[in-house]
Amino acid sequence: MDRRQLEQAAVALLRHHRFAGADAGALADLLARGTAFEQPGGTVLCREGEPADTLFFLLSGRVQVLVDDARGEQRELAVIEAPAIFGHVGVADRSTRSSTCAVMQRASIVALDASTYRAILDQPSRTGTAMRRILLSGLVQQQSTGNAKLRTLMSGIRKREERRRTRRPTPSRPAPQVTDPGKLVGQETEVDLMDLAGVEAGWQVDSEGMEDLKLAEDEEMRRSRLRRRR
Amino acid sequence: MSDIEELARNRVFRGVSKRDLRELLAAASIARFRPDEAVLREGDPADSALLLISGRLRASVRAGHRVRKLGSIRPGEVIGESTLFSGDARRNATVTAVEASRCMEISRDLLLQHPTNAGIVAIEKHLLRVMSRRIRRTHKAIREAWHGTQRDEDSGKPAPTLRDRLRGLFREPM
Repeated sequence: MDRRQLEQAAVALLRHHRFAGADAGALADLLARGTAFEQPGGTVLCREGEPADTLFFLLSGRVQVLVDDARGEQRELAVIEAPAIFGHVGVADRSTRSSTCAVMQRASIVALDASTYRAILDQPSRTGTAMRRILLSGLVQQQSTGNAKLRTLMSGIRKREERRRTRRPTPSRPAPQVTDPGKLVGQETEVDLMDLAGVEAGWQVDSEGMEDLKLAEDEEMRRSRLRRRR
Repeated sequence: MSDIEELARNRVFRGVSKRDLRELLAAASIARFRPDEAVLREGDPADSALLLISGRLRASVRAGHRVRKLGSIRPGEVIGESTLFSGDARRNATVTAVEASRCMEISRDLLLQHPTNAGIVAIEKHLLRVMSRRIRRTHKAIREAWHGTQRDEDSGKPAPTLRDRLRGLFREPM
């Protein structure tokens, strides 16, 4: 890709990833450090569980994100449309791929290898700033997508459980004697809704001393994006 | 202990020179909170993140007419960072000081005006690690939720309740 194409790609990426102090020239410099290529539909770019040695800038086309379920079958987690960044989670935390990514529609991609990423990560240069901030913006979007998926799944589970409760009491948990069974169901549902509230609000608490409690204002961001699109 | 000493001790700023920390502190606003004082309120407009320098905070969300406590925030943790890297947003939880606390406000202006400060670089690197871990946990939670759905369909046994699932996914005391 020539410089003009890289700059156009950088502008498109920045338009899609709001914020944050990364200028197009610096982002084009970053893209120039990677390897540009095109892939036809059906190509698997990375597989879940493999070492994460590359992150990808999707400049055109679409990529399907797949995750293995408990049976080992692949389920679609999301579809990424250009311009976007993917494959950066494993590179950022130096671990394995959290999902499989396959090209759905002919894609133009710039791949940045992990060693280049790490060399740039600590740099207080414009290129370093551009890389950190575009990746952070990508991670926020990815978290928002994941939270939405989780909310949908949890909501479905909650509805099924409510239906189950109203049908029959389980043998291991006999129904208490109450004058108004509907009231009891309402109370239990309220407790569950309270538990769900933390997830819906985007808060997650780590198992180790709750050190990673985070505020992900995903729902408002999603609404805000929709407003902007309109 | 001074703000700069507190920052220098923090794991986020390991390796950052005192000169850079001094510059960061001079540019950023430091907010002080008394015990039980509100730091953020659910529903308020959000335009900056906060780094807790000292003290301890507690987060909660409204659920109907009740309040659900979510957990504690300790020194070195950043809250509300999504605001910086996305569009405008509102706070989706209330955060209250448990004890006397000091927070550094991380605004977009601060990031724009001091992009090369080593303290800012350290915060960005910290956020990359934290947010990557969080996405990994979300993927795990989604996988578990799928797994739970299949178990319901496959077996005639009583399925775990949503409360059980959430406890398993987030290992949060309920």
